Amino acid sequence: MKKFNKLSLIFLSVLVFSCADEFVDTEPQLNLPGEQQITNINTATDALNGLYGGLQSASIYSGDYIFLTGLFADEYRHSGSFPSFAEVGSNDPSINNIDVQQIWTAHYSAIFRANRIIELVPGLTNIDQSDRDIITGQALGIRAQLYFNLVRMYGGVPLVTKAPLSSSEIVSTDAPRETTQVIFTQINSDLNQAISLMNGFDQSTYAFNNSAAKTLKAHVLFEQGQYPQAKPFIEDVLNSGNFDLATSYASLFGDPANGTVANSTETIFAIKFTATDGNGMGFFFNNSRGGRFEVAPSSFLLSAFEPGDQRRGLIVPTGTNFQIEKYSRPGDGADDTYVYRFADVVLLYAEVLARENNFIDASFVLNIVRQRARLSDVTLNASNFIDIIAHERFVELYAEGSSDRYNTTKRLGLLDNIIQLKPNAVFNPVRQNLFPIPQQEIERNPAISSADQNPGY
Amino acid sequence: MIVKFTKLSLVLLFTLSLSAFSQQKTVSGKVVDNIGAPLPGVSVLVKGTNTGTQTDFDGNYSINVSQGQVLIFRYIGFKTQEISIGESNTVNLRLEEDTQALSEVVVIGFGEKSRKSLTTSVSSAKMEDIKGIATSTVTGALQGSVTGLQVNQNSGTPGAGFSVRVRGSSSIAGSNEPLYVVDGIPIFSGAIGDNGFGGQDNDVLSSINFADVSSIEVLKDASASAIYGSRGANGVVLITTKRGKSGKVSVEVNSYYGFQEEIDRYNIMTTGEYFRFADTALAGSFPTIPAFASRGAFTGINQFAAQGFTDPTDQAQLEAFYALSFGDNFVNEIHKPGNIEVKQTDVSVSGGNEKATFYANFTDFKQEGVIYGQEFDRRSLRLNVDFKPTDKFNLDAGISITEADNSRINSDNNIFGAFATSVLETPGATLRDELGNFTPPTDFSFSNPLQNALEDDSDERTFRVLTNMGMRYFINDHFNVYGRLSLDRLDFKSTRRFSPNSAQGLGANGEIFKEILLVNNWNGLGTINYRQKFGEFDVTALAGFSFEGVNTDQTEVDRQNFPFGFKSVLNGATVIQGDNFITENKLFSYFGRAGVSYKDKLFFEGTLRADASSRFGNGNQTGYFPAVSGAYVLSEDSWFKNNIVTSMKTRVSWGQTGNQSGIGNFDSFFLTGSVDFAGTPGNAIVQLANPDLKWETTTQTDFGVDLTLFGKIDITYDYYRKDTEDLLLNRPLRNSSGFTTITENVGEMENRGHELSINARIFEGQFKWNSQFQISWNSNEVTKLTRDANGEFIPIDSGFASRTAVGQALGAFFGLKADGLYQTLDEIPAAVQARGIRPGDIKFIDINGDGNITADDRTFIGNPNPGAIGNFRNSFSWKGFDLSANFQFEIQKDIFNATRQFAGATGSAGFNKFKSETNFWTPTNTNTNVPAPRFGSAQSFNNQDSDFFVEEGDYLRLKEIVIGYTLPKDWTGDKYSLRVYVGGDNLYTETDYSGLDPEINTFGSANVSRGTDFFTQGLNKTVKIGFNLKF
Repeated sequence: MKKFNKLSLIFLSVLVFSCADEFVDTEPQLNLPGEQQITNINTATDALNGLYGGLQSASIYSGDYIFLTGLFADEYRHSGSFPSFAEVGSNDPSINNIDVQQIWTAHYSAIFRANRIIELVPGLTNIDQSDRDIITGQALGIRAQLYFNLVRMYGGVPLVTKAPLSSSEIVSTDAPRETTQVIFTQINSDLNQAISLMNGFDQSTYAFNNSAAKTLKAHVLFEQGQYPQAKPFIEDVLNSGNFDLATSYASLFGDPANGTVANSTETIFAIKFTATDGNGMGFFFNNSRGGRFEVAPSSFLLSAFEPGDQRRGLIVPTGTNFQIEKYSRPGDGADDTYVYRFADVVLLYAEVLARENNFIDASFVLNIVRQRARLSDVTLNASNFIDIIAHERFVELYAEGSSDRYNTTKRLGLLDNIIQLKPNAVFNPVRQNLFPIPQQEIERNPAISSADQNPGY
Repeated sequence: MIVKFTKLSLVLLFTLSLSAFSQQKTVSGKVVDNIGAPLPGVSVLVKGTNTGTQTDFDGNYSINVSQGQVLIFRYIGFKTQEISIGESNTVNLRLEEDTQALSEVVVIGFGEKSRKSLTTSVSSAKMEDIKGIATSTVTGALQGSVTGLQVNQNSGTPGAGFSVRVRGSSSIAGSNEPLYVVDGIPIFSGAIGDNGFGGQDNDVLSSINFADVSSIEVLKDASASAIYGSRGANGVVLITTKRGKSGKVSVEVNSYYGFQEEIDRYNIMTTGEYFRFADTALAGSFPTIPAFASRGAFTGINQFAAQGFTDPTDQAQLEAFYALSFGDNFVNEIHKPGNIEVKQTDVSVSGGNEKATFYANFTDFKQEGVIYGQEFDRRSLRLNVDFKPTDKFNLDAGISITEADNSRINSDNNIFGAFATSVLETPGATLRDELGNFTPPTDFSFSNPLQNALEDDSDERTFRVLTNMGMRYFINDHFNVYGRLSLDRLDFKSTRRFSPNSAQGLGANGEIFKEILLVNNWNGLGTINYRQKFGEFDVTALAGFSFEGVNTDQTEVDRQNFPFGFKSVLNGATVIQGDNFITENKLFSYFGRAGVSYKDKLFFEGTLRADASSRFGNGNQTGYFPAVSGAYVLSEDSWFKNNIVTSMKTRVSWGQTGNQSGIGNFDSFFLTGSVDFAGTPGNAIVQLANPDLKWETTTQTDFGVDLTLFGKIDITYDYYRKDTEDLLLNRPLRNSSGFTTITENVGEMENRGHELSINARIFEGQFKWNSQFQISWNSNEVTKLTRDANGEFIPIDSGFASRTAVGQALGAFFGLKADGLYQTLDEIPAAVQARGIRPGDIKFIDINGDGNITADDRTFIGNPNPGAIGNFRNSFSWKGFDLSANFQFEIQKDIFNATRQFAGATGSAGFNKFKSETNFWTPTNTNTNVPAPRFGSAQSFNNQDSDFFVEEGDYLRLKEIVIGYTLPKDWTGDKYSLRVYVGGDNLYTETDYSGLDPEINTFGSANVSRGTDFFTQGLNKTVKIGFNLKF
């Protein structure tokens, strides 16, 4: 009897000791393990959709990136109450400005998602090479776009091309501010790779396809002053036969019943938003329909239009003010945001031709865009082309995802004067029209100190 | 020789030695108690042998013994007696009750001990003292009964939650509530359901039937709670339910009926008084518009003209208007008239024989709330059985089924609620029109408070089953093994309806939200228990393992837009939400305890527990929690014996316990989440791996003394130090990483305190008087938080004015310091004048001397944690009458009265105000503390968080007073015992606090945001009558 008891006790304890480890193994029901994020064609596609979802951030193409750059330039005036917007509208953002910080953080959040795809997808042999290339190509193109946004707004930034798996990896990795050259090298390398990988994937409305990559490449080369090198990329897009200008400017944008849906002929790349995604652009621009009216067209934008310019029609009166009408669903935010349209590329072409001194062709190309806006032709020459092109880009591309006004006027050296013409604006030439590195990044990143802050802040 | 074991109903304690042989005879007799009632189950032993027996139902026994041997009669709660066997073959005995504190039996983790042998700090709540309190939750009855246990009811709504703290708070991110263990099963506790309904939380403990409880022990120091390992850091409350005793079947019926009334009610201005206030406020900013508020500035309704007045510049007309009082008093209208009842009836049956005993109970409890739409009721059924089929084998089993129904309204701090709106709404309207229909919400600034109370509702139904089964097998005299399985199953259903006509439902055309939460908490344990005496050393040991899992399955559905008259979620035309969440966590543990005592006067004990939890990161999967303690009963030593200090024990303990409640079930995992993009599915990494994530550790040292003076006064004193480290805090990560924070174990906190409990049996004869005074002091300090890039600690703000900062108590209030009102313009610094501040505004102190009042002038202005808490209880009995009264107090605590930031003079002039604010500052009425009514930036200036809103929350409350009479046996006969009583709860409160109740907290059981009052319903006073019938 006693022996039996002893044996059963021993048996029981052995059983018990071996169970412990397996017992406390639990699996999350609402999530997948991180290791399973990108393992086959389905998960890779899901991850890519997740990356596009990251671009929908309220701090990127659903709002702040577009508002703050436009407020800094002469595109909008601040008509609302956010102190952070007021600071930028008077060109004096503090280093603690919450929206300047959130734009930075949201871009890096999306870069993290892109890095995961770029790291993992090429190695998945269970996916066809062509599918892998198209997915990786889009991620590379988007990463290049994100760094391009960052470097134009903040100057040199930390270059992060690897996604950390744990917090200790983040802490042990150095992330100092790189020079703008280093960032541009990365952008160009990413784009070149993207273009070659996405060969043939040229037409879609919402995917960052080959044409979008080439358009971005052209913008990047323009920014670097390499205009002749940009020409082949522009011509590829123009001659691809995939795009054309929409018949009327107004047809590019929707109405309150349907919201703005990216035009299938003219769109090179747009961000899609449905009723559940909530694009904030309508909410901030609209005074009517329950909008917040935080951002209104500036007096400079209003006076920039020539009489009869159809593009003026997307700004409408509201009481004694005017509101931008390109996004008409402030309630549920079901409006797409254009990033690149065919008109943008046409204007790039006009500029590149003008810079070759080919003013006849340059004028012809420019007038295609003007004719769509029901305006008469103009003639470009060596002394007026910069102003005319800057003006044409302003009235064509205002309030869209490319944040064109700030970027173009900075590139063309016109922004200094523009700011000085703004009433109640602080012009500090030392700042070189850059935004400050967010103070929170400086505090939390051991590789960046206050000494690394942009001059003038 | 066959060894026959006899069993006591509670504690086993035997000596082993060789038996002596001499001439045996049979001795028999009867054992009774001090009033002559027979005592069954008394242990009768032959000293020096292992021969023994027990008395039967009638107290009779019979045993073989030799002349000259000694019989030992032992029964728990009674003084042991030893009788030498002489010539006689009959030995009858009357046993005396042993009221000595040290003989008490105390339930501890996984076992029981006599209080004498206890080396740790454990307090027991005496059930006779607390069982009559009219409260819905077990915790409510614990208020003011256990030293060092701070119990506060968060709100006066029926079924409301409680905040319980044992020796202070020691966590920021995790829970500070103790672990609740019922019959050895750690149960699911805390708030449940969505707390967003008007800011009241509810308490899952309200589904434990109070009438079933036979004892409550609170394990306070680390050494006692270390055996609960990673969940014991906040102390452990052990609840033991009643079990049957062998003997004839006994029936007990208890019932009470009470009338409730709120302790205090808000006193608001009349309509005229309000308009005088609001007009004065607006006059400063709109000097060209006289009587602006009266003529519709806030509501668009010109009440001045509506009452027939024509000229707002005519002072006489204005005064006449201000003297009016038209419209309803909203606060009074939302309170129910008549009797607000609370009642309970419970019937229990218990009995059994030596082989099987049972206890069964049915209880029905109902409590109405003082505001329309509030009610709580609960029905529960319990059955506990114990079987002893053979000497070697015991079986215990129990099941309890509880169904609780809580009807709640949107109340407390909510603009769609009844309570806050009744105070703040602009007065002047009536809540119903002539036909009795509700005045629509569009006629009010926010909503119609009565309509909110009656048309919006929330029904919460809890169905809970607690069941367990255990088996004990006695291998031999020294070893027994025990195994148990148990299940705590909770079904919680909450249905919230917003009527299409009420303010909250209007925009959506009606909304119904339904939540179903299913919780399964199952556990099992196995222990092997050892006990052996080696001469004068008594060794006990326990080794065991336990495994536990909690899985929850939560479904939420929400629809809006209902056709007229339909009241079910299904009928809504617009789907807002349809979600289901599933999560689980598991725990596997080993634990052991070993203790040795020497000569029953020197005691040592050590415990060790190892916990492996699914929540801990891979780098820290198992936590180890050791503890040691020792005690020395000085009074056992001969040199000590004296008449003054009749018993004295000193004890010391040290141990480590953990708190894992701040870790989510999957916080350490590397996770991918679902992300949708424009209606297309997508995924993204949502959480990085956090392998080092682990529990928070508290190391506690305790020194204690238990002594008895003159055999009548029991004193217990403890001094403790609790150091908590590895507090879970959000550590910031660089933004360029793609993630902003990660949870890490970095914080530290300490608690130091004393506890003193004095219990005096002043008179013990025909007239009994027992007096108890308990007080405990605790001081809390946060010593480490996360650091920023400059190495400075980052403080954490929460609630209204609560801040967690190094060097301060947890949740100390932080804000400006005020020093009365400005009386003259010269007093006001230039920079402050430039902001529009004038005489009659609050004079804040310019701490940093920069000439202006800014955020840099803020400092620490109060502490919601009480410096000392305690109670004073007196019980008397004489000839069948009994009287008992318990006062509870908390001192040195502050309250941040955020209600005054709305209903006080510094709140917006669009809100109605307290009556006290009619005495506002004017150039002709300068001797007042009430600031002048202002509007715009001056009003915001005055309304900043400051010590103007910090009040003393000290209070003394008569928690319960009861007078009872037990009918004499002549009237009821021997078989029946009937006691009738009348009493009251919370009848008297002494406090300087200007709000409704100094005990409440608008943030419920929150960790850090405490001591804040924001339109939170206060407690009720109750007058009750009842009876206890036994037969």
